[in-house]
Amino acid sequence: MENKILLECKEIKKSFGGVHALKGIDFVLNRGEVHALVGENGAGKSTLIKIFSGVVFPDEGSIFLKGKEIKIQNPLDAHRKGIIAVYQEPLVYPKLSVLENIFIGNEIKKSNGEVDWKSEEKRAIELFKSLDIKSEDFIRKPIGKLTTAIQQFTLIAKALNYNAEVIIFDEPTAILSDIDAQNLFKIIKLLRSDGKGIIYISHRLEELQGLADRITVMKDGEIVGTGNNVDMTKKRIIELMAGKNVIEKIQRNNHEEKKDIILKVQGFSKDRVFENISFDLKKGEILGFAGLVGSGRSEVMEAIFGFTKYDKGNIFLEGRNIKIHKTSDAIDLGIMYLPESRKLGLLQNKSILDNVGLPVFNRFLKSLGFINNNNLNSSIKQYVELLSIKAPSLFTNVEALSGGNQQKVLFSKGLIAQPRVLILDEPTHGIDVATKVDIHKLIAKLADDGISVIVVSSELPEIIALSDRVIVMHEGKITGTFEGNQITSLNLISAFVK
Amino acid sequence: MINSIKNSTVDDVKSLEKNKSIALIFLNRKFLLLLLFIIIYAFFAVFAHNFNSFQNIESIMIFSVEIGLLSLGETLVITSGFGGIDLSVGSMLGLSAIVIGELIGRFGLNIWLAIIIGLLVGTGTGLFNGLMIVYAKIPPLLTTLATMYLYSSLALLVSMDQYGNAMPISNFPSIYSIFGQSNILGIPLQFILFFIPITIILYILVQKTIFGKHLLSTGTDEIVSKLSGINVNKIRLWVYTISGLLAAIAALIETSRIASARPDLGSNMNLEAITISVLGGTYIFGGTADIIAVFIASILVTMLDNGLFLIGVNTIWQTGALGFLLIGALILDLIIRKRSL
Repeated sequence: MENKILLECKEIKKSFGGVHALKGIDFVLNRGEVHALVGENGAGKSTLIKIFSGVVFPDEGSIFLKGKEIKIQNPLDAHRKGIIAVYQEPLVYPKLSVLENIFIGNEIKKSNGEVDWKSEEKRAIELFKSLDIKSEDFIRKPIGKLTTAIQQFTLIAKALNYNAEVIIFDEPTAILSDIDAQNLFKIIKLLRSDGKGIIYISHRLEELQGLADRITVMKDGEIVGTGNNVDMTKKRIIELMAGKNVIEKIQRNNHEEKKDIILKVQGFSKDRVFENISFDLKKGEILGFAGLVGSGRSEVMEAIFGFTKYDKGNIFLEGRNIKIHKTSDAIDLGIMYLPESRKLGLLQNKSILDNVGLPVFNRFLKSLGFINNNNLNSSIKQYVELLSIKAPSLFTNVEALSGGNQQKVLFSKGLIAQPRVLILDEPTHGIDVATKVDIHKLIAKLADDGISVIVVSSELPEIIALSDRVIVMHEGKITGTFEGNQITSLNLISAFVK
Repeated sequence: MINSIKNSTVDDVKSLEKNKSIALIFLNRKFLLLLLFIIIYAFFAVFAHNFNSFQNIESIMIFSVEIGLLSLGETLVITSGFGGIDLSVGSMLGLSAIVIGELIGRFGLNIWLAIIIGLLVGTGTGLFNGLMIVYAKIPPLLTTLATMYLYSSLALLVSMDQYGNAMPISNFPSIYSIFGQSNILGIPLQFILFFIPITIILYILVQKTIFGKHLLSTGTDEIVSKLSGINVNKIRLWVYTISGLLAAIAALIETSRIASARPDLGSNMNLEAITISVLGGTYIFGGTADIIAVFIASILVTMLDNGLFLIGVNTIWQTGALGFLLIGALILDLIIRKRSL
């Protein structure tokens, strides 16, 4: 008699540099079950499956496979133990054929050591047949030229060749067409009826209804609810994801009604990235852009800033239709964008002076291209003081500063350009809580002073605490706009997972 | 300096000290080269007959100018990052040289006009490199490899006589010799009126001007620079163009010095310019340049060649010595960079 429980983990804990990604996870996967995992970005789903697939090692806790405690050393070890993960963008060798991808590192060989292509082909066709796929047409083609769906199917075939029993899917349908997704669901059901255990991560709650046997909701590194499909309605899942915590708004001093539209974006589109994005930004307003990672928010902002190109659409600044070809156009017009990662925003091995001055050297021109260092330095000093950046001197290299101080240097660099529109992408990413509050207060003050701020953030509490208005994007489209007391976790998450 | 700075923590002070030592070591590139210079000079002064003579020192100065100008151009190009390299500097020199020579020697054009056209040709070839790299997005190594062949082939074409033979031009008017054969108070004119001023101008350009700040930033990190509103394409176009102009100036000096223009002038200088630039502390992945150190390095390499020749070392070994010097410099680089991490 076989054990019903296939994979189980108990009290799994994991932290990254003081941030608790997983705070004691108990999780059970049965044979012949599709177990869905849902939750916001940062809820800990990815960390959990990385632990199962051997990419990350847990700090505490134990994992049991078919009742026996195991340690998963690395991804190859996970393969050997029968646990395989299929990611959204399949990890394949694009130049190699489907066949080679299935058998790489695990080739069938003849007695003389040569690869036995015939046996491999026969075996591969069998594997695909068990998934109800006719593979003769594509099996010898380079996999990079085939569709994402076929790449995923190949990885499933590869998993079966390893006799995998646990197959993990991480947002597999996010970049699949509807038909391919339907095919994938069919295959997953086949695998289920074959007695495999499947962990399925998705943000598309609809697709879980027909597919998942059980659904587990994660939030902030914990499991907040788990239940059978029938009990876990969409409404219930969203409630669990949103949680009960009340988020306090950051205090604002300027309570005037915001009505002057400063920036208007109309019908903004870029093929496969974002579609028909239209919104207004009012003077002195903080406009939050919420959504999951990859929903196209940063891409919209980069295009507005002139860092990347867009296909269609218009930008109006104070009613004037503007054309931005390069980033310096945007900066000259008073639009400043500060990127998500401090690595993208700052030259790490250059000084605070050089970094902050970078966008505005041409405003401190003496003559013949020389920089008026006195004016520049005193101006930079002013911002360094305003933001109370802690550094030995202005000549200190940025890499020697703490994350919070680096973020403040980045802010100085944005502010010195005296923008009317300031676009902040994940302004507190990877920063300690105290500095986070500082930066939130600063953003509120900037808005009170009349700067219009767009905050792109994947952290809902940040969006809720800061924003006067929130736009939610999902898969490149705007799926909701919320204002005032409509800005709640529940409403935002409902728009996230449409 | 600043209020908040007074509250700096112990860690900050430590990192300051670390930074200071890094800065010192990096600064040391100039001193290191000077030290090497003195050692090599002393060695040859003792062992090479006639090395320590006024005449010989003068000739080292003369020979350092042309390769030095190419190395300075190379330095700007490498510093602009994105795999920046210019393999065609020697070929640009050759093409500019033969154009000047043909215009003066065969067509009897006014020498000043001929020089201006020659300089424009060099600048144009540099600009073409830049356009290919920036707009056609061909990697610099491949672009300049292609134009290295292209420009030297063009030079041969320009130098053909009516029978289809590539011919050198040697009938320059005597006034033309002032650029490469005269001196001021015993110091070669091209050293005082070209090499030193150009070095100073480039030093100021890189260290003091907005262009320089943007260049160093572009070479350090293209994405950060773009996000800071820097037009990285414009910067790259400029450095390749300047490299072409400097090659043309070197062509002017060389043709004047040897009173002859040949299409193959500069053919062995392409790689030497890169070598000297790297020896002068130019970081091969861009973003760091020390113009003065490159200036010293070009004199150092010329002196090494000269000294080895004087003590009778086979010329085959002279290039080998350059290789040793470069490897030594690169290992040193590695050690410095490791320590500064």
